[in-house]
Amino acid sequence: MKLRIFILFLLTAVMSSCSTGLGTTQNPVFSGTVLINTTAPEGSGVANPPVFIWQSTGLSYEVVGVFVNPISVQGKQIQNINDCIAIWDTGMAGSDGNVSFTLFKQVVNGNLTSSSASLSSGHTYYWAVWAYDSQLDLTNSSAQVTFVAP
Amino acid sequence: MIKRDSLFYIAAIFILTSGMSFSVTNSTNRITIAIPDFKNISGNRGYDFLEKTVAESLTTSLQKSGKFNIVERQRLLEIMEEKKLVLSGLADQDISGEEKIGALASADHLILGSISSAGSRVEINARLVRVDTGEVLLAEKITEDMGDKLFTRINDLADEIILTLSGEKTGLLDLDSTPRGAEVKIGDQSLGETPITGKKMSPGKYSATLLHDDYEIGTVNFEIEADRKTSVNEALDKKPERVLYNFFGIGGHPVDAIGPDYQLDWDLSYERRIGNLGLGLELGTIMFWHTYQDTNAPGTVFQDTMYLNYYRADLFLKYYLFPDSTFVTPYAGGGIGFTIIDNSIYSLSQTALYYKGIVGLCFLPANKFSFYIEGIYSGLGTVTLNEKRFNLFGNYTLSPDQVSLNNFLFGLGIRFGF
Repeated sequence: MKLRIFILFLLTAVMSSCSTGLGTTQNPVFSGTVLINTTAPEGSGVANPPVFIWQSTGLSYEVVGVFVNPISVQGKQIQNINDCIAIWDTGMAGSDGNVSFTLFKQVVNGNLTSSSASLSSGHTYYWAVWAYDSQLDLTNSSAQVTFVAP
Repeated sequence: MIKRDSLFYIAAIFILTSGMSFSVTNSTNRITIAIPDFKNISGNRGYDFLEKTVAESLTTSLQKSGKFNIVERQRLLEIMEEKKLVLSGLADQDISGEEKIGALASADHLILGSISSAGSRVEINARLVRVDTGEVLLAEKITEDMGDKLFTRINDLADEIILTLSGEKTGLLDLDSTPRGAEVKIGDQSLGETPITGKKMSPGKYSATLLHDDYEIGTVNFEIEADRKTSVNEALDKKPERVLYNFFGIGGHPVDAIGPDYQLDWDLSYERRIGNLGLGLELGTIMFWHTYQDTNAPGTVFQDTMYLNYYRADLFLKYYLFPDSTFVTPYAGGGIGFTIIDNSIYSLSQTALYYKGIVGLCFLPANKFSFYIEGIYSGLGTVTLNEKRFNLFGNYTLSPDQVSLNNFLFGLGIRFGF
């Protein structure tokens, strides 16, 4: 009986480990922040242009970033900012929680430009949304979501 | 008809005659007074002018009363010249020369006097003498500093002579005050300074005011009765000390430290006044806020406010333009001290020297209380504040910013003296 329980525990641990490495994590990209739920785009077969949908937070500032590689975070700072190719944030055109990719601006070497962003069809992208309160403290963030550009 | 006319002319002549008769009688019945020059026996030639001045002053006062005939001074001089008479000026008991002059001038009375010195003061001795008997009706001594008060006393002397010669009954006044040295006035006429003793006055009710530099104006009402002495003593109230020599002050100043925000600055000070100068210590505090914007925030501009506690202590020196005013005095000055600027949230604690310039108006509406309006320029220097800068890819970053704390304060305050 004890052996069965041990084997069951071991299998559970192994399965849990495999899930983290293979799929989309359900934890916020910034640890210690409140999770923002996302709806789209995710996986393949997304709309063209993609429409980014998430649960609005009502906070002062929200940023949606699209990356060409998985988002790498240390503490409350994204490390691979050069992988970011497009951003939308509060103040740009578009409704909070529902924004078409056509409203995103291009990011070059971590700097936001005024140019429209573009996606390469068939490529895999990674996106997340994060939000700040009025004191510029980063308080909310979504999990990283993977999608294939249409 | 003729009878009527006759009666009219007779009546007219009678009226004219009796009128003329009355006029002549009135003039001739007047007492005639001779007032020779007083004699300066002080040895101080600087008092020579008083010989004529005192005599002329008495002459004028007596003439104004309209009750006496005064022998012209020129007539007296002619008699003296003609008879080779010399005035003794009360220098000795022999006043035969004066009496002869009086008799020759057909005077009923003589006013004789001498001028001497008593220390730095002038002393005038005067006597009213009856010519036919040599009887001294009045003897007075005036001791006074050279100036207006001396001539006020000479006028008083003239009043006493008038009372003595008019035959009116008089009473005496003793008037004293605490403290002494108050000038006594009845109407515009000065009776001299307290203590006043044995002042002859006509019977009646009087109201006198007592004036003393350091005291409130006193008023005394008294009645003089014939042949009796009235004694009055008045204690004067000291004037309130409206000029505050030591006081605490507390005031609030709206401050435009940085940007268009106005905050209250609270001060507490101790000041000691010495003449025109005020030397003191002041403690003050402001909780001021620094508002800034981060235009790097994409889309929406980020605006933040940083609150800082600022404490200061300084020594100041002020110059009061009218230090003895009981209403208002402008002042100006400056100070040096140190400040502590503190904010535990931002781990900021900075101590620095500073200076200030002051201009103001101090109002003194009551004893031991004043209020002021004041403008202060404070040279507090700069402080380094870490402002939050928006970070697109994570938490904010801190950016040091040099912020000037120099400011101009303007406000109101109250002070209590003790």
